[in-house]
Amino acid sequence: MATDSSTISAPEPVRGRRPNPRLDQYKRTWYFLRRNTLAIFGLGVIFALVLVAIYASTTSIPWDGMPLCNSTNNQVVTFQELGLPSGTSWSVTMDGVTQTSTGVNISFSEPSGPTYLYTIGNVSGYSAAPSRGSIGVGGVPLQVSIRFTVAPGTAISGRLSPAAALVLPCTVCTYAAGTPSPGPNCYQTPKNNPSVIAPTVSLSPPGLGPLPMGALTLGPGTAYFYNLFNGLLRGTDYSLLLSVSIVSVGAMLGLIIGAISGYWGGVVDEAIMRLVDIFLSIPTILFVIIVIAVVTTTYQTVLGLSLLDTRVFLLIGGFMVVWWPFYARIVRSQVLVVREQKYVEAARASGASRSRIVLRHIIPNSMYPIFIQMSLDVGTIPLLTGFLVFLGFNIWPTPYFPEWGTISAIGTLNVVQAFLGACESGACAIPWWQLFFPGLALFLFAISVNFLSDGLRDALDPRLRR
Amino acid sequence: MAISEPPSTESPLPSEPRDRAGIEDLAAPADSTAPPDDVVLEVQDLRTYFFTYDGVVKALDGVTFKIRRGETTGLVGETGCGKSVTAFSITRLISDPPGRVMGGRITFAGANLLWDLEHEARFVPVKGTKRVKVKRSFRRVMAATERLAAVRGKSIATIFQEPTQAMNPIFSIADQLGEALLLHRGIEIFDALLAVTPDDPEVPAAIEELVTTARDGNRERLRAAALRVGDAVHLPSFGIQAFYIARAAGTDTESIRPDIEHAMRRLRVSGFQKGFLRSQRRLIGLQDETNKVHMDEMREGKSMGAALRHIRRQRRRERTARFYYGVRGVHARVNRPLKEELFWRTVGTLEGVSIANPVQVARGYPHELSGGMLQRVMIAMALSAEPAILLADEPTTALDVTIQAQILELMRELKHRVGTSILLITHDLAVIAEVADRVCVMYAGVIVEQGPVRDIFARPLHPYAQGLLASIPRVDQPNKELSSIPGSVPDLIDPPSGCRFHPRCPYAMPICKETRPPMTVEGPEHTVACYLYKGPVASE
Repeated sequence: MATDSSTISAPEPVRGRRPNPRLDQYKRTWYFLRRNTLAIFGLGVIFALVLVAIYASTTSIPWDGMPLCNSTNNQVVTFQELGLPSGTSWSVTMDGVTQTSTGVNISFSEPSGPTYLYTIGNVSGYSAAPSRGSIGVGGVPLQVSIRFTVAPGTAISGRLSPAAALVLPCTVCTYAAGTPSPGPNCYQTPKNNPSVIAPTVSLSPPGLGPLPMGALTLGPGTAYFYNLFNGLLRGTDYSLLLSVSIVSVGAMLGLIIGAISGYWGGVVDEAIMRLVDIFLSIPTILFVIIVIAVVTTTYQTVLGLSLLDTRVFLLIGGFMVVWWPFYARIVRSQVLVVREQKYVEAARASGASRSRIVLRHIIPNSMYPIFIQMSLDVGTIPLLTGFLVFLGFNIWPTPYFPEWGTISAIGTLNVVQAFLGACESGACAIPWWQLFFPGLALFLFAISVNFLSDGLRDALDPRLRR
Repeated sequence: MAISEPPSTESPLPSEPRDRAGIEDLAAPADSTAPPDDVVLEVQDLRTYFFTYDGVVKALDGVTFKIRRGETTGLVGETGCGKSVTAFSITRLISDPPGRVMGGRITFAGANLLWDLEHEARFVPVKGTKRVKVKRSFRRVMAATERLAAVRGKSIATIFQEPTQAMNPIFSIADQLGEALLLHRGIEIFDALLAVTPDDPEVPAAIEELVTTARDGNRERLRAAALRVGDAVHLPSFGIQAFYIARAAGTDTESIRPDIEHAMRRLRVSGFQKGFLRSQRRLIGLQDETNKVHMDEMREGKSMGAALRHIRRQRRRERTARFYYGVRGVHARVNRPLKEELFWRTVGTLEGVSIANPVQVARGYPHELSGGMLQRVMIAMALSAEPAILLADEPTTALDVTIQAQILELMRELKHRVGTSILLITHDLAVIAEVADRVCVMYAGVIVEQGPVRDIFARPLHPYAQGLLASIPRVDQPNKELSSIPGSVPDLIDPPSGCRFHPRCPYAMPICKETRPPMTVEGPEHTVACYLYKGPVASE
């Protein structure tokens, strides 16, 4: 709005207590931000998430492995083979004890409580799935199905194989309807019918059990479920860390490289842009998979980090490598526009140095599209990590890692399995909460960042202020 | 032209010897009437080409003129005749590629601004086309850019046609004007800040006087009293601040004293802040020294790499020191005194260009101001360095007529106050008649006629100048049909041979097609390039 000398009437009082100009600017930004309801909503949600992340990373929230029922101490763990010709000898090693059998089942009796590792002995000509694994022994008898196949299959993870999921232990919590719940950690199966794939689909829909968001079940072979609500809480810090670090470092790299490319032009521009093309041609997911697979199989850990930190580091690093070229392109295109603006020419005409022109005139005016892209990307990162898990790729050293993307991937898998298995056999119970709540967390985070960045852009850009 | 021929030993650039003529040597023979040191800028045979896909556009082909001290030189011509290119070629703001200043001599304060031009690039014609490839020497182009930064803004300032686009939209007016002030008046600003005396014994009396004057309500006297407060603390900008504090207090005169005392408390610069300011001052001083060396380079025609490297080393060291202050000083707010000072100086500068409410304007952003206000700000910014020359590229074209008059009046006033010479580029002859002292008429990249403004308007000699003047509507001849010059501006890739105006000229003769007419003297300071006139050839 043009305010000529005639339209500005009463002079604004100029008191000696003029606030610090920078503080003044913050105040003004806050004033404009406050008027934007959506931005305030986003700010509130992000603030809450950060608090949760701090809380979750400083306290140990029990979110993992609860046994399905709390009963007697020693429990029977039964391994059941599928696919071997009858009479073939096979063996299982668990807790240092090896048992061999030619029958279908091998049983162990183990004290409840700890998690035991088991290994299936080699049978020539067959490969077992899972060939090894861990099993937490809780309050119920457990049954693990081992599938032997002739061709060596891809032994990624037993729990994620839909075939294994259909062969489920059906020995869980058989209580008659109307009887009181046996304990806080024991939950009823639907219609008290253990004959279908009960543990996968039925564990406490939200509101029925003591878990506010229901349980996350982790497929066959483990008689454990995970507290979905606590898992989401616990996963906040990892999710935020991953998204924010990948996006901000990617944007920073892209900003620097794109600005150099756009401002220098010529050969430098050409070289950088071709490099960007090369990086853009790398498929993101594949690259991250390869990086993690190669590095973690060659060296278990890098840079003296722990097993988990190595994975986090590699994940962030892998994404960064393929992430910056998008930003570099955006910034370059913007710099190409801005450098031709009259005010840049005016700055040159007034004797400003090159660095001053770039830092004060070109970069500040080229940054807005980057903010938009960043806010869009922040929500994408957890989805991509979830996608990796969904593909069956073990990016975490433990199979069930509290990160939103991972949780939602496991939830998605369970929903898919429920469709494939349960609906066919007539008892269709979809564990929707396992997909809904992680998805809701991701959605809230992504949309809050969007709202906030939109509001911030409006508040910071003097041209958009009203 | 040499560059369209196959590569030969002949350089496309003028074979003019790089002599070390001072300003007197150059000015003396050319001009017998004016004292020799009157000429601030002398442009000789300036040639600027644009290397496009279709061929080489000879936008300027031998432009020669002078700018005298305190004089306004108007540059008129049709669109596309090279007016703006002339202005931008002087400080080499031509975007390169595609444009390049090819040759000539621009003498400013004894220095040839085009020194070392011939080594900056080689020109390779592409066979079978009219194209010419420019092979730049990266190092030398960079060096030239850095050299010219010594002149740009400080000695030769530029203002642009669209003021709304010539300011950075995301910084406030105070930020941008303050930056220009810091860039050009840095030493002065730091010296003032370091010499502040808030404990001066005269201060209480000055404040007392200000309060008394505020009660009395006379604006002029209030202003004077406020400036005396500034004098008492030895910081002129504080006087401006005090004035606005007093004015904002209005009838509540009792609040003036505490407000001023509060503001004054902020003038107490701590030892740490002083260290920071001194460091900044040294940096600006080193920058000025660099500029001086660059001027010497252009004056003496040799590169002074060793001296520059020495200064650069010192600057690096100083920047490290300032970085230390910057890091340590986040909590001490080391920059605050400087920011305050720049803000109030900006307010003072805006007052100087007759802006009614400078405090609000200084806090505002470019999009909040009208074109006329912004052009005032641009002028203030350009003149903050008190440059010797102001290149005004159609400064009033984008403004409406009443604002135009105000801006022109402002430029004239500032010219007298600062003593700046102005090169005014416009296609508006009325503007030229209003403000210019001398006029150069350009056509298709050459100056065809120049002389005093009265002379040109009363007695235009060149057929093109006559055509231009005939195409203005006149109040005294209401029934006369407006005439126009037939044809249009020629293609500058293949300009007409000889006189470039001959295809459109009503008086064209056979000789006009063959050779370019020389500049002949047809009156006091009045020269024209046309075969119709037989005066003595002007000595250049």
